[in-house]
Amino acid sequence: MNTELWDEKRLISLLKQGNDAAFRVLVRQYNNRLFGIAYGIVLDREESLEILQEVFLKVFQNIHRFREEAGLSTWLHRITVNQCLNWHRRWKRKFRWQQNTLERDGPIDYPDRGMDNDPEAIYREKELKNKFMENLGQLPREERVVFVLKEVEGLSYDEIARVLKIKRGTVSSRLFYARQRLKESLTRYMD
Amino acid sequence: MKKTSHQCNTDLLNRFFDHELDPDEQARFSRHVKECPSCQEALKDNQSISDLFKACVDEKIFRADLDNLEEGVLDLIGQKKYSLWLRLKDLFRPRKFLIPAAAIITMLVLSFSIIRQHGPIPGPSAIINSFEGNGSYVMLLETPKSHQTVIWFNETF
Amino acid sequence: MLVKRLMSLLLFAALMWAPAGPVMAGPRVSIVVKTILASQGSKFIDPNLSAVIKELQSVFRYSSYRLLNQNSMNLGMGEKGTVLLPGNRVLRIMLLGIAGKRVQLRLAIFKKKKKIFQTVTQLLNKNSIIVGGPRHRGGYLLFNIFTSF
Repeated sequence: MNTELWDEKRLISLLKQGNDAAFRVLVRQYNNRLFGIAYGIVLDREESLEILQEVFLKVFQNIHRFREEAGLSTWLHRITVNQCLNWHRRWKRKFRWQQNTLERDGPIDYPDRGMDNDPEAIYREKELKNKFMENLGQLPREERVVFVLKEVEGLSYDEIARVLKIKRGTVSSRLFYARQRLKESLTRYMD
Repeated sequence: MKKTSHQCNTDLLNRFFDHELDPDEQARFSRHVKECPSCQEALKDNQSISDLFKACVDEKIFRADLDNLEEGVLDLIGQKKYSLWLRLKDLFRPRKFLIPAAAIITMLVLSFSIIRQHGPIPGPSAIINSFEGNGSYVMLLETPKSHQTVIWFNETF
Repeated sequence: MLVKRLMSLLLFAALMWAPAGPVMAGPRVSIVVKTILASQGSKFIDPNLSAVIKELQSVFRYSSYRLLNQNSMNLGMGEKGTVLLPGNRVLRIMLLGIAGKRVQLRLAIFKKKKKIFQTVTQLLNKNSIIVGGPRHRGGYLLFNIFTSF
């Protein structure tokens, strides 16, 4: 089956009919992007995978109620963001194991940033990423969500406003403050 | 270098970076940026943050092994558990029923919990939801005492 | 209408009491896979199979049971584990979720990279499922898959 030919209208129609192959197409088309959004918000790989499963299940259950005015991707973004925001509230970390991922390991050094290809430079690059993700996690959640939607999906302010049901001006200010905070905390790394 | 009269407005700068200014304003600010080192620096910082974030996410996507997600989700859907759960949930949508419903459910669950002893869990060790095979036959058995499920299939490949 | 709703509530409560329920994400699940060769011939009971031999003998009539391999894994939701089996076979186990006291697994056996068997099963905590049938060296392979969480 040539899934490239499936435009959104056709895909939605087949999804509403419960077509399994259409669902596979949907998952393949969106899993990377939605994982990026989920990970950017919850900052945990395992949770992001679980959230993604929940998102696609919700899509399957509710596709018959989907009104096509907003567009499929807006709807998917909204479900993903809501699932992320509800995740901790719902589980209250009851089933969450304290995993010592690389992101949370040990004290972080602040070496000079190098662009060579040697192991030392690779290590520094990794530390920089770890530090960045740690700083991202410290952003207020509403700012992080806006930042993630902008950076992962390249959504416009209007599109982000539609997903989150907030005003365009709010999107602009949250994005501004998110970048400000990230810049301030990474000042030592900027050239 | 002569600075233009256009202010180095950080809000404008962010909107310029995101291409959210109207065309005239975008063009004006673009001319300003060419002559303003501080705005150039700020845009470079925005770009660095964007690149760094995307690099982090791309690495996570690469490691996430999303290929199996599709099968996992389809398996869950195939069992229609959520379908049943949601149909039942739909019955409680009218808010006026939520509180009395919650009260009745709580009472019933507590009652059943008290009545029910901590005895052996009924049923076999494994409930088979689906099976596919290349064999010519398959047998499902259960050990008599501890009810361990056995699947025996004839491998023809 | 009210009566209908109350009846539905009672039904719902009864279903809540039933063991099956919505699949939920949960903690990691420990899985132990024993690969056993069962055959006719000289009587031999592998001492390493003492925990499972009675169950096997209650169903099968082989005279020899030999433990070929034992693999352990610890899976989280959506994760898969792989066990190399004799005869160019591979067992893949994927944790799909936990429902009540049962863990939901997808078990797939591949031979020469071709899937020859797959089942989705709900396995009771601290219990096992035995999958058997593939021929190997004059006997048959049995896979005892035990889970706990």
